[in-house]
Amino acid sequence: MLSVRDLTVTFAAPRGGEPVTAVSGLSFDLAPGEVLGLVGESGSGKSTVGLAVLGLQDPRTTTVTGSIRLGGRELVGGAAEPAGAQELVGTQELVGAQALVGTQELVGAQESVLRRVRGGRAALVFQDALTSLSPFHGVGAQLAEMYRLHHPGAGRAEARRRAVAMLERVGIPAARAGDHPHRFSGGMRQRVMIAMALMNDPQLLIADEPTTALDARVQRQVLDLLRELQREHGTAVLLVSHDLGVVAGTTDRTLVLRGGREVESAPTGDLLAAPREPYTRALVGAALGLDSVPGSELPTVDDPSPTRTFRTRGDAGLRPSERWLVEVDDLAVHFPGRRRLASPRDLRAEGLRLPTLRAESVRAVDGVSLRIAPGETVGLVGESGSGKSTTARVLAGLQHPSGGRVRYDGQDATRPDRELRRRLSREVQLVFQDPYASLNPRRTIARTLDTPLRLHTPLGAAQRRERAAELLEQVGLSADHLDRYPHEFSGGQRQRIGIARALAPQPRLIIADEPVSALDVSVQAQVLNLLMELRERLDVAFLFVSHDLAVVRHFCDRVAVMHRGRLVESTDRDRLFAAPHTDYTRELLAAAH
Amino acid sequence: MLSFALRRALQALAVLAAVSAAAFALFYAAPADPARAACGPRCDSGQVAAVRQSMGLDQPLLAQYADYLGGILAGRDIGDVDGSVIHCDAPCLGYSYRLHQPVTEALTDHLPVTLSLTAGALAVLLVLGPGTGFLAALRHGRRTDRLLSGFTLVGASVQIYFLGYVAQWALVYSTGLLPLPGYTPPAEDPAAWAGGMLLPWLVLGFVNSAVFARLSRSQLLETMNEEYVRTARGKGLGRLRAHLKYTARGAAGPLVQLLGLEAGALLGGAVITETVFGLNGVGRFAAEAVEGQDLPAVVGAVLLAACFVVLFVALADLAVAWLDPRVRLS
Repeated sequence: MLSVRDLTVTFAAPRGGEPVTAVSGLSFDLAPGEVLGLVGESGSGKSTVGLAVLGLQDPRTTTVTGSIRLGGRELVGGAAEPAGAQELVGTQELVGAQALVGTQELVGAQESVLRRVRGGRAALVFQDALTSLSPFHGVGAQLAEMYRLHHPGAGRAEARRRAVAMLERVGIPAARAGDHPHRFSGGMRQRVMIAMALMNDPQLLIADEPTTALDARVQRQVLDLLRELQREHGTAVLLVSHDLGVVAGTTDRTLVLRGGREVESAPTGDLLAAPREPYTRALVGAALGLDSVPGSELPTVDDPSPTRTFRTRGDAGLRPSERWLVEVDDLAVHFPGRRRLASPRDLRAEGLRLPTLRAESVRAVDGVSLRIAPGETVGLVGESGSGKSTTARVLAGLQHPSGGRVRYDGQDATRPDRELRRRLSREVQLVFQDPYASLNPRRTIARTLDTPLRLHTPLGAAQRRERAAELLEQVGLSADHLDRYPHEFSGGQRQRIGIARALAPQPRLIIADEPVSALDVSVQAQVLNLLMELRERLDVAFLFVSHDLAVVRHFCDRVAVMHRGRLVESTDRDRLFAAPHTDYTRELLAAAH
Repeated sequence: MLSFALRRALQALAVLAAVSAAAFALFYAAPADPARAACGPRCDSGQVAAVRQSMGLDQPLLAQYADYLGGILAGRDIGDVDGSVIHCDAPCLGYSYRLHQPVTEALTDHLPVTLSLTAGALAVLLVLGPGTGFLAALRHGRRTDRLLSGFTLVGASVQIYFLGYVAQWALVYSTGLLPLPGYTPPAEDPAAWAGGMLLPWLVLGFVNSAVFARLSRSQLLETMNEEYVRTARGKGLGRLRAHLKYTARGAAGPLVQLLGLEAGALLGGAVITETVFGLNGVGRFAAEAVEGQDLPAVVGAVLLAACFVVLFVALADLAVAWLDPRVRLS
């Protein structure tokens, strides 16, 4: 149905540099109704393939060669491939008289041909439905537009009716068809996106990381819906993802990409059970499941079968007499909500006459109590919006609590005085989620590492540089990297630099907010290995904020689960995963794959 | 929406109160004695004192300000220089002793010229500004883009008094392509109105369009990379239609805000343009009032301009919220 032969995509570098080849010599076939997973890490060219099928790259900077053929429904087998089917961009090849019925070459096809294919015979679902759906139009109108673009004769009412029916099919009530995307939850938005893609009953659906931005529970629901609709309509799906877990339950066949080339392609079950290539083995191994041995070194591309196990605090056993490093009691953080005029009834109830503005506050954190012992690693788990990051921000001194008490090393740190604040800024350090945004792009690594050293140590300039080099070596980089800028490093390397910066003033507590969730699985494994090694060596406590239960289980001694601003459960790792107390935790565990 | 309107109305009142108080204070801090100015050069000190009394200038400042505000709301009686009493109707902005006319009336006389000038100039500005910006963004990096960008740079760097005179010389005096600039009420003779205003429209619109062209180009280029534009193309929309329907709407916010400010400012009077083309609008009226130390007229013109700015900025905010439903009115 879809036949890709020898596809090569090259991007011209800005300012006349070397062109970058994103995909080279890729060939694959997709049968009608089949689901193919296209798996790879960032930079592997997996998204480029999806966009190339619909010719959506900027033709001025992108060169596409090879052949992409979209077959008609009538086309079943026996499609003899013309020898050397190589069409350069710009040369147009319309369906010739001898071509198979409905088969369409898409590389170099005319814009008018591509326009009919896009959204008609092949549709796209993107990762982030909030930014991918139009913020200006109601969701029903967006679906209706999709229909009318490919059914020129259809009237508005007809398109509208079909749009509403399709929305209802994916579980969006008809009454909400007029609402704009920002009024829906992440999962509902992605349903809308899928509904829109299926509006014209396409032969091919290209889903580019359709669930990556969603929480695990919602992710499962959306994938199940996608699978269900795919079977119902007999649509072939090209599922692009970095996540083997997503591919595992959804696809028939999987193709692993690395650096724009095919590594391995096999039926999904076989590929996951017995990967042939070392790279695939490493990818499969690096993806953490809920069956890993906590604290063990994770396999990486360089070292696919490690044997080491790091010492965790859980092994040493907690001495209960020990003083807590951090004690949080009944913490509350409320944000002022949207102000609106109080309703006349409220006013009467309160005996007021003049119109009054009311602000209903949002309870981001509500009555949370938490303990962290010196050298202990506590995982803070929850879905987006659960208040876990806000709690971490209070501990980091970045957010004033609205209520409750925070104690650090026995001292009241709710409203710290100057001296305590200095001490906290030295002893509590942060590692952020986004390694791209959290390093100043205009400073060399040496300067980035110099600042905390200058503020918190008595070292002279030369000694500071020496110490900075030591820190880099500690996180697996070298002194040669000191005078480079952040953009010269990969995501994983940047996160190492972020960790080195956090380690600079020799902290007692590191607050890590989703430190590995923006990284590829194999890089994630490397960074987790580093964190485990450092923890063993430096005896530093961690507050590890994450939505990923598998990572938390592998890395943390104790786990606290948050839901809608409240602490649902807080206990030892093993106890939590073996016998969760609350329904919510059980649900979370069930959704983690 | 209701809360927005209410808050904006209160805000506008506060702005106007502040502006009027400042202008009123200026009135008395100014070195000129309004009574002497009104009375004329040949008055002796006794006559000036009598005039001062009949004008109410011997009252305490706050009382005068209260009178003034009361006049705006309900109208009031004002004593002229010769001792006669004139009734000034409801939105009373004081009485010009120079023109022997209530300020409100004088402003209403000049307003049609300014309204005509602003409306036409804004139309020219919208075509030349966002129009060329859109074209340049579509042809980003090509020759069209570079040409248009150069063209708008000329617009941004040239001054109205220079371009106005040069254009008038080239198009009116030398070649006679356009009629002499001037204002004819459109109700009398629409063709003469348009003909006489054409050159001022073009010049004022062109000079002010440069900022809009540059801003719209950069806004559009940024918005073109939005994912919803890619989705629109993925639906099968052509490039031009996708940009018109989605990119343009996404890029419009800051432009509309700026347009609101611009419209308000132009309605407050385009002094230089009116002077260059000999149009008798609000701008020139205000300039002459300043020159003639006609303080009630100055205060009136200042308040009118402030009104327009506040009104159009609020309208722009409403338009932005309508364009992008994610925007909360506050």
